[in-house]
Amino acid sequence: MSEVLDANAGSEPRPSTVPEGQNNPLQKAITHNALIRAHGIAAFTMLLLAVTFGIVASLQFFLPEATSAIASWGRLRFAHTQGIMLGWLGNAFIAFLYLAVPILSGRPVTSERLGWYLFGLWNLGVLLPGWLLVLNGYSQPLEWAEFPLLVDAAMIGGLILAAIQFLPPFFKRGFENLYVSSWYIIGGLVFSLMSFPMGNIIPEFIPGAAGAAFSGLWIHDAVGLFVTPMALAILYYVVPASTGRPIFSHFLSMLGFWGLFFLYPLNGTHHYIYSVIPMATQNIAILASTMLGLVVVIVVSNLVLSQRGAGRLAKDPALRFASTSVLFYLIVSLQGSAQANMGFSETIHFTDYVIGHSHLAMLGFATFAGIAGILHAWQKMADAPYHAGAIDAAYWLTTVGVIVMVSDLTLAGLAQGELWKAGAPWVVSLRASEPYWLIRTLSAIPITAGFGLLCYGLLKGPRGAGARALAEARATISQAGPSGTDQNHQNPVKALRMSYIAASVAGVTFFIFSVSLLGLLPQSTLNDQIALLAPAANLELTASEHRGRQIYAREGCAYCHTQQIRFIESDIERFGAATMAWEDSMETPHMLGTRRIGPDLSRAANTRTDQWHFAHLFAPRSVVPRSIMPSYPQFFDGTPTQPRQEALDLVAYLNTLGRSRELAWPEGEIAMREAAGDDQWTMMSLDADQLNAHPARTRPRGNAPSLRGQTPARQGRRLWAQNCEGCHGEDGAGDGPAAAWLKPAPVNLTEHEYRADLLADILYNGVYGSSMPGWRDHSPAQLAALVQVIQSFSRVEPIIRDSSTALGAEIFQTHCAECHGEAGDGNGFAVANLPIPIPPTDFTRERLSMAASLRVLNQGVAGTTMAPWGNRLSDSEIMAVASYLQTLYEPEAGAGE
Amino acid sequence: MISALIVYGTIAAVVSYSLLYWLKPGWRQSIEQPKHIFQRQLDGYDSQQKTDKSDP
Repeated sequence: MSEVLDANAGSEPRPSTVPEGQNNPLQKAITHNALIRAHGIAAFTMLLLAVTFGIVASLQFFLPEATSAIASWGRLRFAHTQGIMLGWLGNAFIAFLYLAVPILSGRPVTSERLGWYLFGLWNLGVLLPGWLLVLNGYSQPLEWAEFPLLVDAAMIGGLILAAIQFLPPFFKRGFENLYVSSWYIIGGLVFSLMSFPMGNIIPEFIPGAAGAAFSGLWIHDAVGLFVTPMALAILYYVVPASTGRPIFSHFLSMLGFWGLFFLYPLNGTHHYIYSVIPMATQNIAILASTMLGLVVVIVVSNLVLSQRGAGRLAKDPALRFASTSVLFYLIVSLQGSAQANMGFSETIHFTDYVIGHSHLAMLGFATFAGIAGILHAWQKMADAPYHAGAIDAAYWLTTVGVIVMVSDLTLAGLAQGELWKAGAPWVVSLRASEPYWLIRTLSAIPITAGFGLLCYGLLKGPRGAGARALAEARATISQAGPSGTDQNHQNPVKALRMSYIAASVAGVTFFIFSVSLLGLLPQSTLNDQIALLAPAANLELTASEHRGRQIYAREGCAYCHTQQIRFIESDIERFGAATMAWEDSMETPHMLGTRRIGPDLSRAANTRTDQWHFAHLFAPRSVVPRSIMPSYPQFFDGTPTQPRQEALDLVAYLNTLGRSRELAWPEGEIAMREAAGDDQWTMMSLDADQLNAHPARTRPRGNAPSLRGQTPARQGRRLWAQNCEGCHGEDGAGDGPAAAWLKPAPVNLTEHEYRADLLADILYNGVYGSSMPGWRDHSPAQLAALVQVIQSFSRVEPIIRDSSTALGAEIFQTHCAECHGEAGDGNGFAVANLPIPIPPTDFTRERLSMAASLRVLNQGVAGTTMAPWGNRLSDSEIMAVASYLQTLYEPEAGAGE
Repeated sequence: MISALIVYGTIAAVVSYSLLYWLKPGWRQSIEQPKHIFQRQLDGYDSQQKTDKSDP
């Protein structure tokens, strides 16, 4: 044993007897400066690149046409998130470890040469190929795990090298008197090595919701077992290193350490609240999330108290970034606990609130900690450039930028959630989000400028200025007062040493516990449920549908369109029956999604026509004028009428979503009801009014709300522009951008006169078999406003009655009545058997102009069963029929002819 | 049942850990020791760096 003096006790030196070799000051300062520098520079390079991917993706919300195959929104998002987590934070953490591990353990890292292998593998074996592959369409649709399996293998290699590089110094040193940062580093390295394969590989092979359970685990483990431990290791290191005083309480820090490692892995399923994942599992995640918030309060309190004397705004930039990171950590953790609350989750889940939360975690808490670590490492390198002014400015720019971005996204999420709950049309939530998205993009300016200044400050300043700046800053910190919660030290009691060993075993047990509770257990329950409720035969995907699924996955469609209707009223009312486990039991990997920028697609089958999908993929704004969907012209030979195989495959896949449940109806629903017993969640799905409640899905005529007495909304023209112009054109002439791509072509409304009740019916139910969707998400007042606009387009001449109507009636009864009905009301006996099931025109409620009638009679209507009669009837006969049709019209009471 | 286990298990662990801290001074000192050791290591590193720099 040796007795050394505690040099940090200020005016009260404290003797301490500690085991040999564990706390002796280093005989020679061990430095790995070249590796610190290399990882530091790589970190900032990757940060700037990853942020650029994010900015371009955010700009596509306003300029959705500014895209290409490589720079499509989904692929950019993959590159953005993986770049931030592995490229920026990974490199920043490793740079910090090369400073911290030798000091914490008193020993050098395993090998400098190994360090360069690790550097090469991390950057050239993981990040570079990972980015190139996802941008070229080779990815896996798993959040925070988008790099393909090949890159995952390299990443596991990188984590193994990191473990070999940084763990042995601690093992050689021994675990007695190990400082909390060391525990976080050891925990982070070990648990990342366990959780990365679990989250990146297992969901590739487990279908549906069971795979999502594992995905959810990883989404949280990536933050909880990789990012957070490393970030907290930095904070617990930088705070005392910068202030020159020990942290407030090592007891609290260890309480926090084990609390976090126990509770973090149990949080994962809170990403799938109200999903089909068993409620018992969801409850565990909700509970763990709440308790985690309490643990974080302990951690944060300890870190805040550890900064006593440094003033409200620390002079040392590293400490200032660390201090702000602590604040962000508190907020983001309390946010996380709140988000797991079921009532709150119902509103904000899938919204930008969650995006704000993840930005606060990764760009606020973790990034600020990473910057603190690199800045501190730079300060310790005697020959490192350091420009204090640039770094100071960088702090303010990044802080303001992050606060604006997160506040903005939080408000956007609340607005989106409320609009969704209120049942507002989807496009309304997009329009309401636009100002927020603009501010989000603008907030990237100070953030990026700050990162740029940081790079400048670390590459261009006077050499050695960092050390001087730190010394000056430390001189301003008061060293008076007690330095913590203890005064005297002694050799650790045996039980404590044993407790560390027990705790190490417990750590691994926690992880296994979490995987069992949140992964294996729900998988077993879901498998039982699937076996009980699934139809005897479930259609497998065809080769084309399977290829379409791969395209859907690689383009990141699941990152905007969820494939899970939650067990909540607003979801069921908007999209239909809640998704049951068996419905996606063949989806490997799952694509449940955690964000809805576009509507849920669980029941996309039979919601839109193929032509509509082609037009939508080729030029989304042609059919949905305010859409922010990226366009995919690369799937077509210049026009939606010439889809390439990729488009055919993708639409084929879309037409499988929800297909199984539709095919099982109604016998399947009856069988499920019998099998489910009194399971309330299954019953909730089975009791839904509509299996597919998508407001655009066409339905048989009838049940439209009466528009009588409705005061038309004033925004009729705006509604028209937002919803109808793409197909019908600005003035209703059927000449919108998408008109040429659809068959039957959109109606030229100037040639038609409609009764309001028919228009209400068409608007409410759509026209089955055509691309005219229903607009049931609009209120009766809005539909009444649209009816007014449509009627105002009509240029149909007054009814002309002439002597030929008798002949016309005779011909009509002979040739037309079988479809259009004897009374011309569109209810002929052949209607049920039409090869193209578009309802024949109801002439009692719709009147065509003479010119339009003559054209249709002569030429037919492409895309419908209305055949051309020009070669079978004479001109006078056709004229007679056209005249007769005029007489069938029955104007509404009160309407003039 | 598992939720109860997590709640009560965590509370039990925290309470016993805290009781040990308050009731056993030896334990308290032991658990706080690493922060002081770390501080010495930091200072040792700084002074050693200065020495290394001043060495010819």
